[in-house]
Amino acid sequence: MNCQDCMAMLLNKDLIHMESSIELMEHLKSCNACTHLQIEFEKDMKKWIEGPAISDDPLYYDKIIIASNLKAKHVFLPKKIAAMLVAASLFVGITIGTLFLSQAASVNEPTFLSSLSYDYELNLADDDVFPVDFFFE
Amino acid sequence: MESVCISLSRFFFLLKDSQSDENMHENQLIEAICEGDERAFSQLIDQYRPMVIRITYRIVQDMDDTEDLVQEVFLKIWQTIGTFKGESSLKTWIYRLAVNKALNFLKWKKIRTFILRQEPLNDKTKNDKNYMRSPEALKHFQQKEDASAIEKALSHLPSNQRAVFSLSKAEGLSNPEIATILNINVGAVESLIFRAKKSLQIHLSTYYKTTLS
Repeated sequence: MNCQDCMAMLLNKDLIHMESSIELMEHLKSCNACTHLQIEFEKDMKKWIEGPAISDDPLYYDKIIIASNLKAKHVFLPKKIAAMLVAASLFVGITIGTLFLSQAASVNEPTFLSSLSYDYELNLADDDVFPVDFFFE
Repeated sequence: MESVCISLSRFFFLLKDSQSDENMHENQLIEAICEGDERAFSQLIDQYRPMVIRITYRIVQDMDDTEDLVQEVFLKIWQTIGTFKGESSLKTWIYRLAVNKALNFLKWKKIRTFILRQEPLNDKTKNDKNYMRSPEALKHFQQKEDASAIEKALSHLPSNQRAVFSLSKAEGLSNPEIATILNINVGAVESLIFRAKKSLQIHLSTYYKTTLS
């Protein structure tokens, strides 16, 4: 075992086999640098496992409740009602749109009679009666 | 011999009894919170706040962000405890909420930084003279100074490896428990721990080589 394996062994201390553990101990006895490293590593590991210092906050619970109430105030409409409103406004929009489009189409679209009078150069606007005799002449 | 057997069986009976008591207590606590009992929720906060702070800090590595995220976790617990099905323990469920919150926060932070093509806030504010004189700056630098070698080495790891390593080594959870928390399989957990250790080995070796020499 060499010094380079030492760090890996220390990280896997709880997983390594008995034989490897003995090997590590023997290496640590004979190597001052690795012993120093082991001491520092274990000290750092302990500090990290302890985690950050947590101070007691008696008002913490109130903060959560206040935040919860604030969040609830922001949602002014329940989701179901909001979805229904959106659907209703879409329906109304589509209906109105369809109505306008059909009216516009009916205004511009030529009727059968107007097309026929145009084809035969008749002036229907003047007498408003279709000259049926015209075809039998 | 017989007396030893009797005392052993009594010990296991008591152990089982205390575990069922704990479950019973947990179920009662959940029921009370679902009914809107604020005192029960206060008890839950007292019980789990240190655990949520520890794991969130280990993943996020910033105390200010941790405080915000912990508050969001408890807010989520308060709003969604009704959806808790009891398939895992309450502790595992809370761990899951905290870890997901922290990992999502880091993901969005990374995306935001990438999209805006800006320096991370901490680095940007470092150059600001007013910030340098503020108490927040002092706190921030103190925090960085106090960080252990392990914390510094962990900051080089991807967030999911950091989460898995923290849950395993610091929180002492088993691989199946970690798999449940992260919703991945046990093989993936083992692989993440292996890769985390490999990276840590490199970073820690370099760190100790420079500091101890």
